[in-house]
Amino acid sequence: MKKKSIIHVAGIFVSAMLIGSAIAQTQIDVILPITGPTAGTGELFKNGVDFAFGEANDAGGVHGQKIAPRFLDDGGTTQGGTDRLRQAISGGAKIILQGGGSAVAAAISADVKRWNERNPDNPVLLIMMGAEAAQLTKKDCHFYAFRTSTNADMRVKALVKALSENNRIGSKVFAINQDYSWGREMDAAVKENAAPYKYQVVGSVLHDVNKIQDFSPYVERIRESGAETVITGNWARDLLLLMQSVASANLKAKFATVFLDEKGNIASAGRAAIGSYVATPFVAEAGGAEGEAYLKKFNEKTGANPVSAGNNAVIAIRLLSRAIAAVPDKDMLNPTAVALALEKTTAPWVHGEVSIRAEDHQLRLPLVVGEVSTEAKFKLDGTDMGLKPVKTLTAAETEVLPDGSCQMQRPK
Amino acid sequence: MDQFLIALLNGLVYGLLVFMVSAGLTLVFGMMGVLNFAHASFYMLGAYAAFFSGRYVGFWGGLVVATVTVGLFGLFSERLLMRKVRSFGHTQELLLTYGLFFMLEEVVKLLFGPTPVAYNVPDELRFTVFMIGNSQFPFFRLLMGITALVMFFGTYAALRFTRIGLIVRAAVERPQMVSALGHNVSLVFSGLFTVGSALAGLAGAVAGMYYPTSPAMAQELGSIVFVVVVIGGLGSLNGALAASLLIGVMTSFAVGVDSTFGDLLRALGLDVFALPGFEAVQFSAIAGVLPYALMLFVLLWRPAGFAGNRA
Repeated sequence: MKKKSIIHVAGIFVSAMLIGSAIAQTQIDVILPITGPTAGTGELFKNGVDFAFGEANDAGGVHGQKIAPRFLDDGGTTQGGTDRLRQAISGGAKIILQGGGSAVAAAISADVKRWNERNPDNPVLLIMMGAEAAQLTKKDCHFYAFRTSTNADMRVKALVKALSENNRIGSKVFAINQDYSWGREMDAAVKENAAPYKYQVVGSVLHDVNKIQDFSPYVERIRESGAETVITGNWARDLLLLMQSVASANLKAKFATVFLDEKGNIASAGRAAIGSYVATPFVAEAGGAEGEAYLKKFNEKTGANPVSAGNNAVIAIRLLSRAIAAVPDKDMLNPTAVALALEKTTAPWVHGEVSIRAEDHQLRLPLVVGEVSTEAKFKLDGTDMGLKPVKTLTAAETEVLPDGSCQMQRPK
Repeated sequence: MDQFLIALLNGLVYGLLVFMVSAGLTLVFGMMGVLNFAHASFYMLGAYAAFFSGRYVGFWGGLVVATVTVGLFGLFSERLLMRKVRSFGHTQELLLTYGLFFMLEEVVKLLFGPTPVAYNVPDELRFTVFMIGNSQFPFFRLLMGITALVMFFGTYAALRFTRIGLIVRAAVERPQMVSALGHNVSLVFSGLFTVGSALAGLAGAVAGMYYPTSPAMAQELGSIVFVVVVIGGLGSLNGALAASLLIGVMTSFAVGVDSTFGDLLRALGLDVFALPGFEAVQFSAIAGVLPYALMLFVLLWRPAGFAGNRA
């Protein structure tokens, strides 16, 4: 009896899958951390993906077909990422989107590269929507990998450019970052920009990732250094704990951050967040009527605000759907054709046009530097605080030219 | 001198926070021998309970609700879950509480979402108590410290000077004998577990307003509290306090040092050992690892911990 029911259930599954594929639209696999410690970031990406696929389908889909995402959960681990990639490829996926941290992205990108070298007739295309580690479009770049987010160089450049042009940066800057690839890149970028933007780095510190409970000793070091601005690439708890220590010690220095607008951060930091800056792809107030319309539509579709990484997912899918539309019908799922089209595609974004740089497949995008303020027009996280724009930088202004370390093997 | 005082105070307050969470674990793990892996989850539950109830009963009411709720939750999990597997030994207990740890994290995610919630220091508590040089010492950091000290003296006095404490200590040492003398040992253990859980709940309610209240907060403190109990010695409240303070102060001072390992080796005249990558590592970068290094040394030098009985 038991055996029979198992066969029965399996039968239902198989027929469900057959029916599913019979009415299938074009399916695109999306690998995200839906569970695990980074599930909060996964949720931001998922909202962005849901919104952008809906937007593409409302505009008639691609080549008359609707596109639909299939979400695969990597649990936030590199092993999970590798497994889900294998699952996607064996399921016949040609185009794969990935959202989440750099470590998982690096593992998946390396696997894709290896797969493509072994199967030159059957390559897959990877778009990394949120990984920020510089190497992904430098030494580790390859033809079938695209990155639709920024990197440390671009974020720091945007921050110091916007702040120094508005006379907000002061002459003394302190850098505090996490002691791993991303934090070290931030640290280096802060030091590199010192001469062109005329500030002095009065101190820099790298600390353990996700291990420090009390940042007060670091805050005392910042106070001692006399810094007027503190630049940090910290995210999630390392950022929140730092802000809390700053607020409780009443440090006057202003904070320039990268990830403060991620969901929950401003609510959790509370009053400690006021006066901090963030360089981010989207600030509703800076986008005028278009920004407000996007905010409203995104909210209606997903029930959440478009913040931080969610916008990178929207940018990725806007570029991808335009690239697919640009190739002939029969090539719409041909990774090589789509990759070549992506290099030439531009897509509209709230704050200006976005495009892919052909040399290293890095996204060019405008960034907005905003200040956390109670006077912002649109509030975040259900608090009375939001982002008040300081300056919008065009894609040309945020661009950091490639250093030649990307040696890409292009298809013949 | 100011810098020294500030570093010391910061270290002490952080140490006291760690003690708050470890205090309950010392009772549960150290005295009863229950390997409660989910202890840090009770700390997380406390923060969420205070956050949720604080909307209706205010901040101070939230502290009370959190303590009572988590205490009761501990009582139920002891009575309904752990008691069932105790006779099978420690492995089963460990696996059960390990499962509980993950379950609680997922339940909190389902109810409150995976991102941090807005459990903040209320505005009326945001004032400065005193100044050291240019640095201000805020009231709620003092509040965290005071809570921990009250917790320590309260628990210590209850165990040392009351009749209940006497029975508890006896029940831990010789359960059969105490039982034969007509005391309900099972009730004593349930009570001890409830108090241990309630302490974790209170710690969560107080610390959650300063640290981010998120589903990850159990994982963050989960390992450090075990470190404290091991360093301090199983079942010793004094040992746990000493270990917590030592860890806090050590970490605080390590962060303030602006030298590298290369500097240390040069000062010792050992620069031949300075490996290229290792030499440039700052002391402050390893502050987070120090508690674990300390545990390693204590285990080598004094396996029973600072104040533990070698049993």
